[in-house]
Amino acid sequence: MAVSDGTPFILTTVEQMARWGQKNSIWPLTMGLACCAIEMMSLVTPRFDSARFGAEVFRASPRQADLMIVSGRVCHKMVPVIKQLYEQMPEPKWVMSMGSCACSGGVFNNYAVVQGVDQILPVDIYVPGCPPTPEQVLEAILQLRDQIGKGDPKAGLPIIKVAQ
Amino acid sequence: MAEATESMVLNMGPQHPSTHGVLRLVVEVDGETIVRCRPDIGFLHTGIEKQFESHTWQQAVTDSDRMDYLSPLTNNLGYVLAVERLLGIGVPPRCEAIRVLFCELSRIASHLVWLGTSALELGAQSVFFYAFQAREAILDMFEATAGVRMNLSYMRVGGLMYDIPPQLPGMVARFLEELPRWMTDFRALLDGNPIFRARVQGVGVLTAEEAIAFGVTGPSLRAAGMPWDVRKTHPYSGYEKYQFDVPTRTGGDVWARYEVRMAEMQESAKIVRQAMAGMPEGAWRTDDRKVALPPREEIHRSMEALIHHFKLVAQGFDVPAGAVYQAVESPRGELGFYVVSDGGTHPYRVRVRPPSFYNTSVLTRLLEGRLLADAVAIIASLDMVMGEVDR
Amino acid sequence: MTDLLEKFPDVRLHEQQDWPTLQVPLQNWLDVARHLRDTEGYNLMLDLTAVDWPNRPEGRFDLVLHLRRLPTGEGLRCTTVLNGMVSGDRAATDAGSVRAPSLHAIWQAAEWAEREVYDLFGITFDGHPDLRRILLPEDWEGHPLRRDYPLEGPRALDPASKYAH
Repeated sequence: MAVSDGTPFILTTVEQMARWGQKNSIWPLTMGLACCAIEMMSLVTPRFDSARFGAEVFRASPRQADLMIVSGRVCHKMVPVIKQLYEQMPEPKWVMSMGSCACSGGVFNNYAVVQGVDQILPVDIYVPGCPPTPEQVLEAILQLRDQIGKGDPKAGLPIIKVAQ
Repeated sequence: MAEATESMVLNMGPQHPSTHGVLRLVVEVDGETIVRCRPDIGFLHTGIEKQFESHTWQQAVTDSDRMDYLSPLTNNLGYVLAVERLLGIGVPPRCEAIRVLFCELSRIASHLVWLGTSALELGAQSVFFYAFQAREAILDMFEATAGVRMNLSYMRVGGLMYDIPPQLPGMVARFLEELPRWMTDFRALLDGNPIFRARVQGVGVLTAEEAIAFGVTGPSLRAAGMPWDVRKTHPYSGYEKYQFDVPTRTGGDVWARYEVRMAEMQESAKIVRQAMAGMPEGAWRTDDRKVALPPREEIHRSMEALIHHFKLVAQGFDVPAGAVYQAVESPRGELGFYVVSDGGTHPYRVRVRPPSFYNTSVLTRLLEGRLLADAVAIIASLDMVMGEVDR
Repeated sequence: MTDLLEKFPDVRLHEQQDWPTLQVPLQNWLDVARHLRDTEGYNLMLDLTAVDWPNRPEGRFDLVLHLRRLPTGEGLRCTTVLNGMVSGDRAATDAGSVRAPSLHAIWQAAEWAEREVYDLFGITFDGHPDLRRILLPEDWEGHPLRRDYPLEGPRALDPASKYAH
């Protein structure tokens, strides 16, 4: 256990234990928007079983969730709702942009769809696909776990672009 | 001192565990009774009808999937049938049979999602897992055929994306063997559960007159006693060749809608069996080279084929000016495509008659006077897909 | 249908199209609709929508109504042409210059369908109990399904708009 930055040994251990706990119990928020939501539902079913990676329950209340999986196209009317849900989530929290629509607007480059949820929220991991298979989302959860385990420096980063 | 009470306005959604997608209900309650209900939609408005106009006729098939995403192939079929009518072309019998096969598999998959999510919302979590597990077999078939589990865009104007793969008949046969076991399990878990029955029987009664006034079609209308099914009265893509019944009930309550959809899954399985057993040999797309791409081998030999290929890919084909309304029976009701052409390579206007839109509008009537606790069961029983409601 | 054609002599019936289609002058729209439901038995309103022909001299918008007679299911289409001068500024909110009577009292299904046509085309329905946007946010400007509205919407029209992302 390196303490090269001068942090006392005991605090480093506590931090590592906290990170271990966080990464092994990521509880997603039910934020199913469109088609990707169905693949997200498939994720908890026995064949793909996200529970074995700690995502035991999907919580409907943002107060009890760690990970907001934005699954589907983000439309203008939904933007204030998503922002409010994100604000309601307690720290530490992460955002996964699931599906091409959430990553960049996907197939819909038109008046109705926000061109990527990162226009309104900081995203920690992007999963392209239309929709991505549940295996791809699992891979993303595993990568996110690694990020968290290493001490995610992005927590609390300012939002990339804010539409007023 | 007398107690003064006033009603309370409650907001359900658009993020809510039980509203089946991004539906917002502004509900005025007096104690536990809903006095007034106002659905607020548009949280998934994607501009798909406008998007159709910016694509070529063939590209636009991909726009159609993403409306009713639980049953993408019925959307594909409605759209390509409308365009084929405007073009005045037909498709070979094998293509028709494959289209019917996939539409019915979509119907079963869609009803399984309805079953799983509705049961989950009423507390039956095991049914959710079982239903989605059963659906995985269908998604494997989709993946083997089109490479994608959902949003296949498998159909094309003039035919299909590819022929079906050689392993498909075996997958269908295995699925048809397993389906009865799944259905028995569902029945045992739900029908046999007095709590489930108490929550759905007599709840959310929708009469046929009310349904028709609101434009409700599909299982919700058939559960109210009106045996209306587009596949029977105005068959398309060869549906007249298959033997199947149209399940109807008279109760009009959540229980009746449940029964109709469960029976529909059985009927769809019958059609799948017949379509697979009687699958004609031959071409899977039209041989009209102005519409369908020529086979790859021909491009290397024939200059004309190469030119057709180039023109079709670079520019697309023209569709004669005119307008047509094509109806198909989606798992939610009558899905209509009103397609208008101005003679060009792009659709001029594509209006999608969305069954879920009208099925959702009936909530204003259906929830008034009911208990708040029943709202979840009633909403689930209407089986709306917000992608289709909002487009 | 002969009753109807006698009662409304300006209505034309086209039978060569995919569905029998009634071409109805706007002043008869409401009465023809009522006759179709009450006398001819077209109880199911499938859909009400519009088509925009911006350069057409006789009128810019078509209103298209699709009906069925249940339980047998015969279909009927009714169309009418809406004349109206539309503001040249396509991003401006419609000032009510394109109007049609509301059919909500005849088929309840028309209530939401007309709201959608108002939202996306800017056609005002007289007599509608609750005419406001249904799919787009309340403060949206413009009517996207009009042919002169760009596909990208606010991103193309007004990059400073809060909807331009």
